[in-house]
Amino acid sequence: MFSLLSPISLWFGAALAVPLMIHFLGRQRLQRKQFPSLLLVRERFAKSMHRHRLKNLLLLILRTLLILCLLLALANPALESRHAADKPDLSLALIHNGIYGRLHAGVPGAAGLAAGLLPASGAPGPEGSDALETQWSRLRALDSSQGCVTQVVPVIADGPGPREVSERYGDYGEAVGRALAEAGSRPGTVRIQLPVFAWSDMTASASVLSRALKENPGLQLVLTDFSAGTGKVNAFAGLRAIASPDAPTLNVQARLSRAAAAGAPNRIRMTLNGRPFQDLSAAGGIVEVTLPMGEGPRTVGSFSLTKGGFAAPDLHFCFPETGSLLLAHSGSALASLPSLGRDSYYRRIAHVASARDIPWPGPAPGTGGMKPGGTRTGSGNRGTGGPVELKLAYLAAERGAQPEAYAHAVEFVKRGGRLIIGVGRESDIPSVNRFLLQPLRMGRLGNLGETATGQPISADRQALGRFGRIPIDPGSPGTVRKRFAYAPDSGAAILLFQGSPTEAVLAARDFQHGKVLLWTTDIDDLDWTDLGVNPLTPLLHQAFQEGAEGGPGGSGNENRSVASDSVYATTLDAIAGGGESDIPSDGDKTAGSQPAVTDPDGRPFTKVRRDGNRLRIGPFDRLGIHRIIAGKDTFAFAVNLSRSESSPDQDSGKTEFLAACKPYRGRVTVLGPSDPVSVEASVRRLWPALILAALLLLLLEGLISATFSLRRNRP
Amino acid sequence: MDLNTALSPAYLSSLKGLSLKAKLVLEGTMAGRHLSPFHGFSSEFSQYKGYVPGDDIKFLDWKVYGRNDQLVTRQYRDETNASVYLVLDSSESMGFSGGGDVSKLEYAKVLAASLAMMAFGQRDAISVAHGAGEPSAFLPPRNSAAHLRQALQMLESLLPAGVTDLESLFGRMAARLKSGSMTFLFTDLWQDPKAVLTGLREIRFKNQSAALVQILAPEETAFLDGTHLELLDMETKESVRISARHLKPQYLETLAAHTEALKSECFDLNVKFLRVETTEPYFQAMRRLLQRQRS
Repeated sequence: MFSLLSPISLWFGAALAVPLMIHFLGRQRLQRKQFPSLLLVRERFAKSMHRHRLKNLLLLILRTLLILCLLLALANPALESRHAADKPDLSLALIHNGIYGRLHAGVPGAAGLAAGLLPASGAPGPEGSDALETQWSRLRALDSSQGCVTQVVPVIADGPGPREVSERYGDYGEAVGRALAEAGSRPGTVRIQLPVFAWSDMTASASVLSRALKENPGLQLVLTDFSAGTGKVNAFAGLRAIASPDAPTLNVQARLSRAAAAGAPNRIRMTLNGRPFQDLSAAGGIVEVTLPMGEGPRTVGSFSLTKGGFAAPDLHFCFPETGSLLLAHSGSALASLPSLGRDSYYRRIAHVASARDIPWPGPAPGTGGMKPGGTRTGSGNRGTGGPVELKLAYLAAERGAQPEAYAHAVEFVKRGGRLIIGVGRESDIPSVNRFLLQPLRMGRLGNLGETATGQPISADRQALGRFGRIPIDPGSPGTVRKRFAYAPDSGAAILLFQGSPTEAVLAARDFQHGKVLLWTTDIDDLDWTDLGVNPLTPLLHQAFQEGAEGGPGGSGNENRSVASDSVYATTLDAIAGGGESDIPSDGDKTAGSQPAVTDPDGRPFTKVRRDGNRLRIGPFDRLGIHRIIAGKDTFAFAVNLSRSESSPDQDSGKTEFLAACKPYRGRVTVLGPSDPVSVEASVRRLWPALILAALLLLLLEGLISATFSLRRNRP
Repeated sequence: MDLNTALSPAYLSSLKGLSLKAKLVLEGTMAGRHLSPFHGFSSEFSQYKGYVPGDDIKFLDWKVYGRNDQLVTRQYRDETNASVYLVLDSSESMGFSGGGDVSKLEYAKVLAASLAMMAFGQRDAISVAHGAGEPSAFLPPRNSAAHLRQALQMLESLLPAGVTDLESLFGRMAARLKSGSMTFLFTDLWQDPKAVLTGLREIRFKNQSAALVQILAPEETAFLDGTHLELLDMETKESVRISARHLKPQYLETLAAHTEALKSECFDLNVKFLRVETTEPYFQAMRRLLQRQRS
């Protein structure tokens, strides 16, 4: 896809008029003069004049093209390249991130569960494997009740998983390799894209994945990510990330066997909860199915080929519980991927690649479910207008990002996407202004400054009402301590402001088919507001839940309660929801209790303080995604992607991780929300080619001039 | 005022009366010179010749006979009156004065008048003719003061008109020439050299000598300047758009080749060829013309 990254440079297109003016003005200065005879002029110079005119025309064209090339080069055109994702030799991709394990109390780590799901090598397990077996049995029983027989191939495990797997299976990579070889030995090609929420231990993941790649030369990994773990996924891949606007759906692409492809028509019938869901046709031997992940708990679906021939005649999928997916074929599941309950997911996380229920009006009335063909038209959740895609541009660490990344975001909005922009004090504000805000006509950001102490944030209710289906909130969203100066464009609406309406905190505008939301606050500053979590999740949550949804308690969750020092506060009532709470009280914080709030490494938070009915959780100072789990459901996320807050050992591990992945560059494709790094890798810039073309044109111009000059001077 | 200035075309163009101009030119031409360009018009001694019976004894040089006891006769350059034909090309192109003070036709008229007065002074018959193709006027050769006045009046009233057709002009004039006459042809030669030479040959075969004077304006010899010009042919009214700056070298080359071709052919035909520019002082042109004529 072609796009211009600096379209403002096209204003220099006026330079194109220069050669044209010279040419045409020169023609107008024609002087008439009498001459005694054209005997010599007419006969001898007719050809010469023709050549002269031809030369002038050629030079005009060349010079115009030359300027055009330079202009285009200034405009920085880019061509999005997707060749890596279209490689036909893709055989199999299996990703398991192990979060599943955290959903079940008593399981020592997600990787442990994953290890338990591995086909045993026959060797007796070491001490501690009983728990895994127990959990594995529980899961198998659960799956069996849903009509699925599960065989899980964990490719990536986190936390202590690899170690446990190693203890049990000896060589984890070998186990993975066996599993992959088994799946890969089937005829035909299967491509499955599965989302990855978070990888806490990237070093362990790298070693496992790298070994799997080494042992399976034909393997290409497709990593789908639609959470804030994108940074990690990209870091792993090295590499390449392509936006996956369909997430959190599950895309399955299956290449039919020759026999199946030869038979026409190749019909695939897909059922959902036992009812026919959609019929698909195989085009060119390939079928693509979009599975509605998170359609609801206990969802069971399947699709199959009516004429067979596919490697898996019957491919089943189910959601044994909200937030997990089992995918199986031929009586055995390929993988199990935990997901989040859609309800909590949508309500509490705004920074997903494709959140369809953000309370913005969608382009079409929601009909719910899917249309035949797998096109999602809306979930009908909360009665919103329809499917709404939302992307977050986390720009706190975007310094050094290429303009392509911004152009990608602008293009996303043009095509109907919703973009939330937040910047921090480390942001490259001039670049943000030039490449993102101005193309989106949002205005300009200025310097960061402190606001008046204690001045509450007010909402322009009329603007909020115009901007979307946002109920009026009588309360105040909170306070802001630091804010960037902001000069909005005439078309931008100020939704939230502090003090006077010109002191914008949150601005928005419609831009072509999409919408843009801009925070003028410093999202890098933990103290910027009384909601002390970094960086954006709570902010957006606060904006949509409290500023737009009717305030605290409106949705049944106390998300507005805030505390300083990076502590998230809520109430037990809210967090308990419909399930039991494992949150300990102060007095219960003894050894052996099972806290349900973990840091990115799966370890319990060190500061989970219960004060009566109130609960304070923190700090969220580790790199990655912090999950606050209530019962079996995820209550909230806290995302920390700030590099400055990452520990040195993590950075070191990341470096090793990247180094280990380097040989597989190009073989790993990450599907996820684009960020500056990932988009940069998928965009091919064309300005060098244009500069080269300009030089060639210059050379050609010189050649033409010299050629005509030689002809003229030739006796 | 020196001679160059006094007899320059710019100065003479301010004077009225062709006869006056011609006199001035003639005086300038003859200043310090006493040689008549025409053989037979003076009694200038040419050579001795052995007497043979039948020779007129009045040319016997008795002094030589007294000294050497030989009979020789004295021969003079010319003893008979000649007819001088002045043929002017009066086509439209001759009215061009680009870059000069006078047009080519004006310049030709002064030269022709000067020659006429010089011929009259040497008792030669004068004939004047002009035209672009067919001779539009022809004054038969005579030697009288009234005839000279008539010839000067004809030249004075001459205006450029018509399309150059030198083949026709020269051919028609050749039919009217008497043998042993001298013909001066004044033209810019803006025609195909083949056609010019065809007519020139006819003239050459009818009389003893002929002189072809090519008169060009400065803008014809040096060409024009400027990049975007639309040239309008004064005779055919045809126009062409050119870049004079770019075409100038080629034009000059072609003009040189054109002139050289005519010159070469004239040499073969024993026709005197002279190219003059309208900025050249008349007396210099006359001297060159007479010099060449003598040579």
